[in-house]
Amino acid sequence: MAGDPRLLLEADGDPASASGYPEHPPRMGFFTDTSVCIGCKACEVACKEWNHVPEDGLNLTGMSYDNTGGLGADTWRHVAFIEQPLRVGPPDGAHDGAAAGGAGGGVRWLMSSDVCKHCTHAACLDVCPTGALFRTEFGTVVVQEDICNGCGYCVPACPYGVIDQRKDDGRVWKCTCATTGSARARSRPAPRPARPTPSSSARWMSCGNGPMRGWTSCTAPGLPTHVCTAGTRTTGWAGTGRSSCCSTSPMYTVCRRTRW
Amino acid sequence: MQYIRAASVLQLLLGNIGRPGGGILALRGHASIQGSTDIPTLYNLLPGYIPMPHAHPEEDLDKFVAGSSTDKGYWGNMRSYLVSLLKAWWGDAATAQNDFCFGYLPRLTGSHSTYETVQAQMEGQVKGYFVVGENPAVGSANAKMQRLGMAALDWLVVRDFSLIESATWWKDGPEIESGELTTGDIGTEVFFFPAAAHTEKSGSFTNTQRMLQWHHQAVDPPGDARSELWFYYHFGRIIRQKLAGSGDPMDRPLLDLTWDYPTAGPVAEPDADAVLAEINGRNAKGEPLASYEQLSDDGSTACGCWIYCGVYTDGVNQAARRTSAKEQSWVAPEWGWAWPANRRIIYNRASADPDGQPWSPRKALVWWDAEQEKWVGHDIPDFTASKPPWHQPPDDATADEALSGTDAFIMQADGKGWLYAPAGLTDGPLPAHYELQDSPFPNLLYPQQRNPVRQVLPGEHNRYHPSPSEPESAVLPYAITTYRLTEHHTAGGMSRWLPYLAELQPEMFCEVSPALAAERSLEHLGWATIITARGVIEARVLVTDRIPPLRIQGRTLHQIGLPYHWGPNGYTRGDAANELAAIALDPNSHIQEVKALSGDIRPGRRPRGAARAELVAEYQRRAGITPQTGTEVRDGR
Repeated sequence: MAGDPRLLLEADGDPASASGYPEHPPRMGFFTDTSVCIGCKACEVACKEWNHVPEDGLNLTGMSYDNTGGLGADTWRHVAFIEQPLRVGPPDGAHDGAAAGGAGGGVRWLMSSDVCKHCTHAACLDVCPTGALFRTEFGTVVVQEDICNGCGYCVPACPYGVIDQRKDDGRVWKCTCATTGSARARSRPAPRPARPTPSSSARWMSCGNGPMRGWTSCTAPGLPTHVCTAGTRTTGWAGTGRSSCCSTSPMYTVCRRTRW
Repeated sequence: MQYIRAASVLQLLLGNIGRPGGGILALRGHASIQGSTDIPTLYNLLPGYIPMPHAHPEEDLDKFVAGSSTDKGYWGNMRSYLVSLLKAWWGDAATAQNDFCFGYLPRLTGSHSTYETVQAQMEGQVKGYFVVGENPAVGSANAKMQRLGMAALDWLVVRDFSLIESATWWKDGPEIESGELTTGDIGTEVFFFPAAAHTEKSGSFTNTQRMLQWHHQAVDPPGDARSELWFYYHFGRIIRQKLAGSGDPMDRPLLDLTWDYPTAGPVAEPDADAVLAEINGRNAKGEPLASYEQLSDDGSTACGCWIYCGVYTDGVNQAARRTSAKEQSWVAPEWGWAWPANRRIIYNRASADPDGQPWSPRKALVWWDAEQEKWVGHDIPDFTASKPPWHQPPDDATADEALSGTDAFIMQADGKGWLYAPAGLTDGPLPAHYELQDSPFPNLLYPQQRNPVRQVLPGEHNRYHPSPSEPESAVLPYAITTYRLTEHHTAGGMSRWLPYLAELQPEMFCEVSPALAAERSLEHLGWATIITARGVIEARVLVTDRIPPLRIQGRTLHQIGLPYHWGPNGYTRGDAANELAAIALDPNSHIQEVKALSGDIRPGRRPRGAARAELVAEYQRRAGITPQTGTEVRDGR
């Protein structure tokens, strides 16, 4: 079903119905607001602690304060740090120090917490030959570690670089949304990753409400729309003309606000 | 200190004291650092901010109280607070006839701050040292002097989670590597005690908003790890056992102590609740007190810290309350307990105008209710509840009774907020701008370059940089600033050993602008060596526009940013930024000046072995540094 390109152009904006869940409950999502994320990385540490994901090396990357680098077998949460040159210089008479900075006159520091999107049309799941990857009753896409045979087909299939092989193990590992088999998930409170955020930059809420109004559409930054796996339309974020990123599963949506 | 004073004056002028969303809240460095000033680990304070007495030979309780209390305001009741404290500590042994054991208290013979203690260690005057939850060999200014001080001790006790640098400097510290110290020649006997983490013991945190929050033990500490409460209780118990039967008057203060906390469990852990109950205080019948207003100066009440009186009201641990936000008002009075008297915003009388009505309905906090004839509101009024706004005290009134109905600042000797502080500060009554000890620029505001009453401790290992008027200051041309990273905790004892935190910030680095990188041929992710007159360290280079050059007094000043968490031990290791910092102290708080210093940077790794100290000596020669450099009291233009 997910292979049907028509599904990528769903006009009604309801990917859950399109995926065969006509009677679905209200869609819930993680809303990650990069404008309030302070880059504390508590979500990275909490994810590793909760899921027993191993430490994967002391590696100073030189990419600002991001020494994680990207998602992978041993990184299910990644906070990216972007040092963005300011487009507008300081006003006349501003503090001399700022003007003496880089070519553009200072930087703005942006942090963005990234994670598996548990796509509605999940390519990793579609290509898995063993059934190790499956969709849970909570709508999440999960690898069963006792079934995965390490073929690795899912690794290039994921357009977001989420799923990855653990080198000393051979199997693939990815985000479980920290809900697998959890009684907590059945009562639908916030899954673990939404909790330890001191700035409330990651919140668990209903799609289509509050700050997530208008976020059920997707243009992943840098991702051609024909590759978008979310199964949704492609529009800008309501009223801003800026793009937003949103990938959707029958029940979960992970939105990443990319409005500068 | 000048900044804190300036911020306080500004908040007073803006009318932002005592109002919701206003006030001054310090960004403090550790969990419960507020608690460790309330029940102090400071040398010059007793619990509840009662000053520690000095070694005046003729000073008894009455003379001390006369000299330390005020005629007006709540400090007018200091005798009640102090007598109740002495009763908590010495119980039945403290009587009116023996001045409630006031003579048992230790006495100050001078400034005994942490840095002066280090100097006294090096001079052989301090023989023993307890290092608890602290890592001075990495985390204190002039890390080398910290280690040299410890090397001059007879004994050293370190309590921590890990074998931190302050516990192992004698076998693998920088001075062992350079040959300046030899393990066999160090006379210090070092004892390491593994410590329990906060999840492994019960107790309270008091953070910057003065709120006590109780934490319950979740798991037993591993192996020999024990809580601080366990260590000090049993340490005291064993010392008292050894002294039992002694007729030496010197031993009476220890033998007469009330040192009888109940213990439980396989390791005989003292009951933290019992300690909180002692801090809260009790009346003559042994019943828990509810407020410091109940404290008496006749010995009928005992209270371990007057500002915490009420934290055990009705025999209930109020700090352990966790009522949901949905079940109480927005002030959340039933979440933990805040001193004094569970008031969440101090001096909140100032949120109302002289007539007792809120200055702004939107910021209403407490107000005078004419019908009930008392102060009411969302918060507990920080004011005598029945005192009307128009109250004028009689001329002969004292202490809190001498405050008028508009004297909101109830701890001050005149009930007023002080823009001008005639007492209590070592330096001037109004904030001033002084340049830093190592500043590369002259003070444009005053001829006085540096704070004239700053504390400098000149010595062979604590040299200061030339004043900006001296041409040799160009040898150390850059500004160094030190700071913390989110991923690491202070001197690293709680984070550098943890793989999940170490991998997030895996290496000591310095941050420089592209312009400074070009000027000094520094490569992104390459190595740099950073030098001051105190030490030399190496760090990986991050070139970033976030650390811009500054344009000051017509010239460009480049900055070098340094996190201070690293040291040579642990899972992630590196040089300590505090090798570079001088000991130059604020005269009031005795806190080191490590936010800004001057120095030099060059590409490549630092020298090894004896060459490390030689490079520092070379810079001292080139900069013309003498024992007098930078120590001038008046060094204006």
